[in-house]
Amino acid sequence: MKKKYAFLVDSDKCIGCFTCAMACRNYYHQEKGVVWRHVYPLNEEIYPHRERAFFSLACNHCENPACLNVCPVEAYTKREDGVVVHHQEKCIGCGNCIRSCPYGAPVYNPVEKRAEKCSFCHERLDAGLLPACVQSCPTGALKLVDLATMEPGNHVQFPPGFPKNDKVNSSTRFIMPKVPTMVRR
Amino acid sequence: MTGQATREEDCMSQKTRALSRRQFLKGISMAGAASLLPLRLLMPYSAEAATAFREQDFQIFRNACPRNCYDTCSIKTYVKDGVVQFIEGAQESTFTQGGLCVKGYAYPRRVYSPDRIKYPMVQDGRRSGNWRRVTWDEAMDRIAGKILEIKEKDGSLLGLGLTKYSGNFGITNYGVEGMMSSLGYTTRFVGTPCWPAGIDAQNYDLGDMWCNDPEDMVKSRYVIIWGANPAWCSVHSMKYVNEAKRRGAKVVVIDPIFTQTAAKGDVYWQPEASSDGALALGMARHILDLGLVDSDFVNNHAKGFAEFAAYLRENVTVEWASGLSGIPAEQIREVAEEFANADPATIWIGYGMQRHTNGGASVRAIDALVAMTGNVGKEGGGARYGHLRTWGFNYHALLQKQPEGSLGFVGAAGPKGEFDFTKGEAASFTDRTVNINKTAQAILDAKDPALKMLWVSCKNPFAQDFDRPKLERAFDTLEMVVSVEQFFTETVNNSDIVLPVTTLFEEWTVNASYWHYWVGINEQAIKPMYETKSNIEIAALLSKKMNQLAPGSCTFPQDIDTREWLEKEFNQGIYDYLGIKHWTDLKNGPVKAKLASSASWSDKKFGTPSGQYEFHSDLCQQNGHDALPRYKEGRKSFDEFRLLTPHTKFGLHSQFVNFDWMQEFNKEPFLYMHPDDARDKKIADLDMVRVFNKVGELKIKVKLTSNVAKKSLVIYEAWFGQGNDFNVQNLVDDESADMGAYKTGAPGVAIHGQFANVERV
Amino acid sequence: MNDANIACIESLRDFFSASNAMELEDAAVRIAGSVDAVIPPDTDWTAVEYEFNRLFVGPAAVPAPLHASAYCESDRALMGTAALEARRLYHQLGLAVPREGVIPDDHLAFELEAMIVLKSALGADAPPSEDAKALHAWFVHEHLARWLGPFILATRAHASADGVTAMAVDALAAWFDKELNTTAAPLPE
Repeated sequence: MKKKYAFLVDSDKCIGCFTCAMACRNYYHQEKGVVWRHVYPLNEEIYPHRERAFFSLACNHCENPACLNVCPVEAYTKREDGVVVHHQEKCIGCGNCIRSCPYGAPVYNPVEKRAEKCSFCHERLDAGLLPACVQSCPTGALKLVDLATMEPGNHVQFPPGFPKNDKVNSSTRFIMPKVPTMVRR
Repeated sequence: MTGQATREEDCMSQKTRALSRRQFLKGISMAGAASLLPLRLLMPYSAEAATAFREQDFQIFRNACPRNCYDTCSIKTYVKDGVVQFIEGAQESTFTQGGLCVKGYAYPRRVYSPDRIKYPMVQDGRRSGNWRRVTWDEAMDRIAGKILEIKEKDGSLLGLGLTKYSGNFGITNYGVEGMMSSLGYTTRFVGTPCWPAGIDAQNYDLGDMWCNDPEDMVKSRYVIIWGANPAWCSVHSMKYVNEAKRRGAKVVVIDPIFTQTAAKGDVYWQPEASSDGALALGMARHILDLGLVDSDFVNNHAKGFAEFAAYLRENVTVEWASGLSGIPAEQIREVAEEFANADPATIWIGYGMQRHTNGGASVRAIDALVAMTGNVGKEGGGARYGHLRTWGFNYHALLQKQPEGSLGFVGAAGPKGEFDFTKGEAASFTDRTVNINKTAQAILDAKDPALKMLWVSCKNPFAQDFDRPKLERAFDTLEMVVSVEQFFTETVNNSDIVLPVTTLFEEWTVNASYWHYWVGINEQAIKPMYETKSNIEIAALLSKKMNQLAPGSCTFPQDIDTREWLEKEFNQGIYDYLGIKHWTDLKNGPVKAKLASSASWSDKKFGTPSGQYEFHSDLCQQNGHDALPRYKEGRKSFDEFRLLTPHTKFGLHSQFVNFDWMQEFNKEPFLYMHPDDARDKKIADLDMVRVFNKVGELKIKVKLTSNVAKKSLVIYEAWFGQGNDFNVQNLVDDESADMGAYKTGAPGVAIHGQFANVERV
Repeated sequence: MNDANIACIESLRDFFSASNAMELEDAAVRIAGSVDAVIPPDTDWTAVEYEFNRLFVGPAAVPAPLHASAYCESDRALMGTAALEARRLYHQLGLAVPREGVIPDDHLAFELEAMIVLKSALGADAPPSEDAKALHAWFVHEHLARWLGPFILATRAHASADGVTAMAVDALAAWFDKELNTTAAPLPE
């Protein structure tokens, strides 16, 4: 059965430590201002305590990627296992993908004058290793899952705070955070 | 800036661009050594074609994070062409488990930042910004010359001081203290700002600070995290807390701030800061009333429980505890009962909790809670604070002899800190010890002789020492300040000479943790860059120069090899404890100590004078405190708001926070305050405000949040960056904690016993 | 290639590798000579040293690092691709930076010295080899051209306008401009 790799973002386990974001930077040494994985704090409407719950987001490796569909030079390919790869060497920096992605995954590199994004550490996957971010997570909040064989559970595709877009059909799945019983003086 | 535009124009068009960054890091070898122009490569069409990661393309080294953190990660370093390409956590350690943290992953930036201090330099006039490069020889000449001048004038080297703490815990870095000893008797800043009150408290109660293996927290049925924030400061511990929870344990987090850890617990208590002792005693009273005391433990393994119980009955009620702490009485009763009934139950006592004038007393009360419920010596139980069991090295680097005929201080000599593994001195002279927690005052007060010269290593006094305005005045009385550093900190700005030091990738050493039980080797992965030297290489160089100018003036060996010195630290005891044959076994990965039990004190043979757990401690009383863990009031407020300055998740104090990689995610410091208080002061979110008190003031942007209690101000310490003079020490004074002198040489400091006011600017 | 041109590059090399006021003065005087500039006789060379360190060396963060990697490499990290490219060039010339790896190979002084070697090879009696021409062309157009411009701009933005360092950087700019314009771009293979 064909794999459908995806990120599972367990915001209940996530402690917003930014290890994943820095592990990506450690591995790829992105240009200043170019960030492939962000750790976004959830709005207080969604989680009532400021900067205490997060979504770690990179690329959502969509089923029907907007980036791939608008690329004039075929700098994107969708692999059989679901990974959407950006081929930096083919990119001409036209910006179509940057404008089209509903999640802001491709970002502009002003030095190389091209787009770039998370490509799921595909070269690590092919060597039987986990993506740098997934391996780095100290609480197992960021996981690599296979949507093709994943058991149904409490994970959702469109949690509050994550733009719903049925057209691209993002692969990332989320588990929502909980709040404790608060006893204040 | 126009530079930016030109840079883009001048950079090669991407068509002719050499290997992309990702390709390079993947280790694809270039086509033919003769071809200088790598742009001739054809890029593979398919993403999968022969681009898989290959470990054999790299040289792999083992490193260990030497920063002062519970987790002391074991690191696997990938080197190519003599350059560190990337790092990850060692998989062999179940604690590190393949991942580091946001700080650890920024290490490559540390090595290759263009802002790294590369050469010995001399500043003509402190804070002038006028620096000249000097050779190592010249630098040593100046330093040695000054040392000899002091010796000549004073007849001793008590005018030379060392302030060093935890910036680099690689064991061979104790060679700095060794260097000082090898020169003579000097002034040492002793004690620790970190955890001294709690260490003393645990020593009085149990006879040592010795915690369970943190990996056994999964067995706990009830976990109280009291004044600790592992979600920020010990990220690897959180998986054990989560697992305990998954298995059905209840997790209660007690903290004046609703921390990230608190958000992950089942119940969060927000007590008044420094009321923790009262809270613990209130719980203890309720447990006593319910008859839930573990009678086997208190009768057969403890001393003084009856007296403690009498104290509780006469002086403590749950209502009283509720009044002082602000936690409702019914909550106190509920949690106390649950805690006493859970088997095993554990309390993680945080260092923040004891940074108060009554910190030691509070820890004793919490220890008592764990002891009276029979949780001491149980797997999954215990009063967890820290341990030094895996630190049984030889301290060869530390133990150097003073030159013959050295004169020094005559007087009582206490321990020089919690990591002082010297076994008391038989000499009639000693070093002069002053309180590291009152650095500024100690410099100002030192006389006969006055302090003239200061050596700073593994520490950033201007970021970490208290009462910054006083510290600046104190530094200005010194004739020479030498800083050993990697980056331009405020301390370097206030120094005369800066010496460039190696990073962990550029020296051999070994690291242990004060929390988990793994030990990792630290190999030299790359050659020291520029003219950097490790601390012991610097000591050797100084010794050479000293003996050149005045033969016999320094006993430190003049030719050292960091790998040899690493070897000298190991002994059979460590080999047995780790179950290895030789230290080189650690090159395959970190190793965990072979523990008889994951629980400390499992044999109930305590290190106290009575050999039992001491609710009543004569020793504690002899040292000027209460024999029982009686309630001790915290510091009285002297301003409108309580001021808390805890640690940020983005740095180890001032380390890492200045990197642009880190400032990508942590752009500027903030004050956090409660919206109700802000409304009263007409302050809006993200306004610029002024925080001020009797120590000094600070201008900062504010974020409003109910994570912070009313009437308290929270500012995370040690952020620094270009063009910003943010420094919380402008608001924190050097008020002492109650305990710490017994085991660490000086009392701790009430970092969280501070108060201030705030207004819009 | 005339000796005067080589002498100019040598003086620039010595300036940017100077480690004290005396070395700076010695090199600066030679630079001034080769570009007909005037250095005021009352120049405070210690002040020149302070500025040099503030711009290029440290210990505080430097606005104009002397390494190619800082300009055309990802996020200013040193020991990047540019450093390894320079290393390969030196190896081609039968040279290497002593204690390779300790100081990144793409330091301006090393690169200027490599330029001297290349120009000497090009100026030798026999017609220059195609290899030498190709190496030289690559070095000028596809290595130095990537970073000298931004380096010069960064220095000018932070150096005092009439100072010695400004003069040295102007000399560097003028020399490189000429070099760029008189060297044919490398042919694609």
